[in-house]
Amino acid sequence: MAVIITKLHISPQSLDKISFEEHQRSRSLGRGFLSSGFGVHKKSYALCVQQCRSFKSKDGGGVEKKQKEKFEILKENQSKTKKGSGFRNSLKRAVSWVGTLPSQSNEEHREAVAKLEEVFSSAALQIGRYIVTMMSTGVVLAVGFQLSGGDSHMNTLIWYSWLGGIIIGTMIGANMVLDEHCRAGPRNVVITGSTRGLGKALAREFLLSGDHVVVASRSPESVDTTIRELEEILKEGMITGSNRTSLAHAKVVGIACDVCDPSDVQKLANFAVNEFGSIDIWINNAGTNKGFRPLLQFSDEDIKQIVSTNLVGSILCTQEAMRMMMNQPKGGHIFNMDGAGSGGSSTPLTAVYGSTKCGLRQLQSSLLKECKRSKVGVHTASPGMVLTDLLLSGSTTKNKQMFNIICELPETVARTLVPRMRVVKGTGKAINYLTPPRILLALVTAWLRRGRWFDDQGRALYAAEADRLRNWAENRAMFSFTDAMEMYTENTWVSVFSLSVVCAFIILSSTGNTFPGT
Amino acid sequence: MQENSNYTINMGIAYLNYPVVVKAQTSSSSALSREPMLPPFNVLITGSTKGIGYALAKEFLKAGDNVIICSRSAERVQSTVQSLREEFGEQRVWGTKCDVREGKDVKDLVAFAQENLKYVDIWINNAGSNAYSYKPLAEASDEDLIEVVTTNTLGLMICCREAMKMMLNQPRGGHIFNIDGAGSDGRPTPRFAAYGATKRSVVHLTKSLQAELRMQDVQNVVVHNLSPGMVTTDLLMSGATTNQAKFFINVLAEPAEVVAEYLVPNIRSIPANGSTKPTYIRFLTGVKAYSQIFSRFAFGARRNRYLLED
Repeated sequence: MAVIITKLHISPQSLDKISFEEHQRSRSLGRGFLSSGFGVHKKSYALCVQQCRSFKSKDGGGVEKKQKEKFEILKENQSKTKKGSGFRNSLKRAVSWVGTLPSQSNEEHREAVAKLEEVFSSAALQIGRYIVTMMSTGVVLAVGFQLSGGDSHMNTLIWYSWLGGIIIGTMIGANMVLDEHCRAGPRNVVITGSTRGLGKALAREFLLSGDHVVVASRSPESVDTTIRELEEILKEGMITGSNRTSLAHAKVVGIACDVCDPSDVQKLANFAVNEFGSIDIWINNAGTNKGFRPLLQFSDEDIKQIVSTNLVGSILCTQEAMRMMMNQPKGGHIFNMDGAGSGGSSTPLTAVYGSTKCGLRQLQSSLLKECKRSKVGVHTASPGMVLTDLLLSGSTTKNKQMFNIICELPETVARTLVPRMRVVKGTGKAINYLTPPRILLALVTAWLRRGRWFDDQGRALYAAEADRLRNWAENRAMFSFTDAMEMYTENTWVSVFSLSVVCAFIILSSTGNTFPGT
Repeated sequence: MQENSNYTINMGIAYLNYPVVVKAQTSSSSALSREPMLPPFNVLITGSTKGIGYALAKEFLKAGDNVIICSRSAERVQSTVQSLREEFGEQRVWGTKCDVREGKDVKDLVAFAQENLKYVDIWINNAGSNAYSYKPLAEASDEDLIEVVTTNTLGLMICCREAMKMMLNQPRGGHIFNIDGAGSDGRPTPRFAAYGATKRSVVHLTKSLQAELRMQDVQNVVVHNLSPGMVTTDLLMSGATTNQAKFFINVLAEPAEVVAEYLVPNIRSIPANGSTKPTYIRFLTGVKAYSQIFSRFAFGARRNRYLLED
């Protein structure tokens, strides 16, 4: 809509000097947006409007088409029912008729039909999408021809832009299909230290994405309770959630495992393989801090626990996971969790924790070299600052005021990290929650964020975990929108960029041809 | 060359700092009255029955200091103390068994030092291990990995804590030196990933401790880093299996004695000047390393120096 208004807005300007039109396009676009509420200039002449519109159709064609396609993919369910049902039913009937001839056993037969049905429905879906997309481009094309008024030059331009739109659309569509393909199918995920805090949130998020999750922690009791809780959530999700089909595969199991004990780690890996056949993602999340104070006040036992959980545990788990994944045909991905000190800046009052995390970063870079040619990907994930016991133990009121600005609930962080972890490719990726734009946003809105989690006295204002989860099912739908935006930013920018390049090329080439003098 | 300039800078800063330090001392009357640190120094070196630790101990003894040595094995300590006593006299060197991974052992070490020397001026955290194996992580054994991490990281942390505890109660204060290693600059260390990770964490710990001491306004205890570069000890030589490793060992490594000869005067100059500024003493500086690599390529210097290259 805005595009059309823009054009109409240009038209009085371009009355005298049509040649300027192209040059002013970009500038007046902004103005057009600004004055969009203003109304349309009514004095514009028919000829001029027509010319401008022809450009619009070309310009907008790509955008429109892209939007249409996106829209369509988002609305896959509708199109499925529309296009697929009749086609599918007839095929089903045909297949069932063929199937009865060799008199197979009933079970087998039904299974085969179900499988075929699935294949056909997906094929029909793709074909339907394709037809709708091409029809929409055809409509745009026809409108363009109509508006060009038979000008042969304009017609070529329209053909060009149509081609450009098709290419870009194909690229975006292929990307989406591939992405969807990557996202499909359950992952087998092992998360250490996943009965509390971020680990639990990650496990829950993976589970709700339809994955198989192995929960591990030192105490068998907390593993049991966590499994029970997660199964409860899963059941609720199956009743209320939107994607029931993917949740049907989701499964959670657990085992007690002390990450600094090699035999325990081995047991965990074997357990995961026995349960699910392979391990796709291994997350070294177990970590401990033991409060904020100078090194002098840490006891031997504290230091020992921090070092053995954070460093020894991560090294042993990484090693075991690598051994397992190297023998798997599909390979796998290992994530180590970053923490304060990973970047190399000093961490007074958490010297032990910081230096173990710094060491892990070094481990990561060494492993990257060692695993260069193997199928195993080693990555880091940085949750930023999360409101968990690890951070809050021994924090002062002043600290808490700072936490208001930059901290997040574990669920929020997990919701952002998990989709990216699931589709990670290659090796050496860093999946961060606190990206520069997020930090900037936090700093800009710092004033609004006062008292978000803690009040002036440092009392917690946020709900307990159980309450948060109760409201979670509803919140989820709302949040997924922002996450989707986050995830598609890169693709969107690429497509917008390529679109603008194509447009610029067309505009420039048309300028040269139409007005050789300018 | 660079070290020399560092040295003069340090001296200059020490000189500038001096009045400030005195003022801080007088203002905080509750603090222990501070004594200037004068040679001979009392030096404690962990893991000092062989390799660079032994060379450092010998060099300190030559400079006239008193030295406490320790190591995991009681026999090795015994024999080392004996041979050093023969060379430098009875009342100059002491030794005890200490496993730096055990908090109790380290506490005993501190008690042993206080009993024999009353105070320690320079504490060098040298004990480090690589389990003498160079393998990709997936092939390394669990025991080796645990040994590397617990010795290099846990041991160092416990030693640092005990050393700081002791030195904060000493009128003379003290200096703690942590020895870094491959990987501490953040460069990847394939085939000894765990070792690299622990050494990186050593440097980070030093940094954090410096920040902590600054926060607590402690002037008389200083934590430093000490980089011996590549030393031809068992730890390094056990990894000389690939051509690349052999090349770098030949070009860059030095015997422990040479390194100690350089490091000890630098270490001793810090307490002698009364400096309270954290330092990072490096034997193998970047310039030095590059010039040696260059001369190797240009003139073929240092070829087959320690190991036969193919």
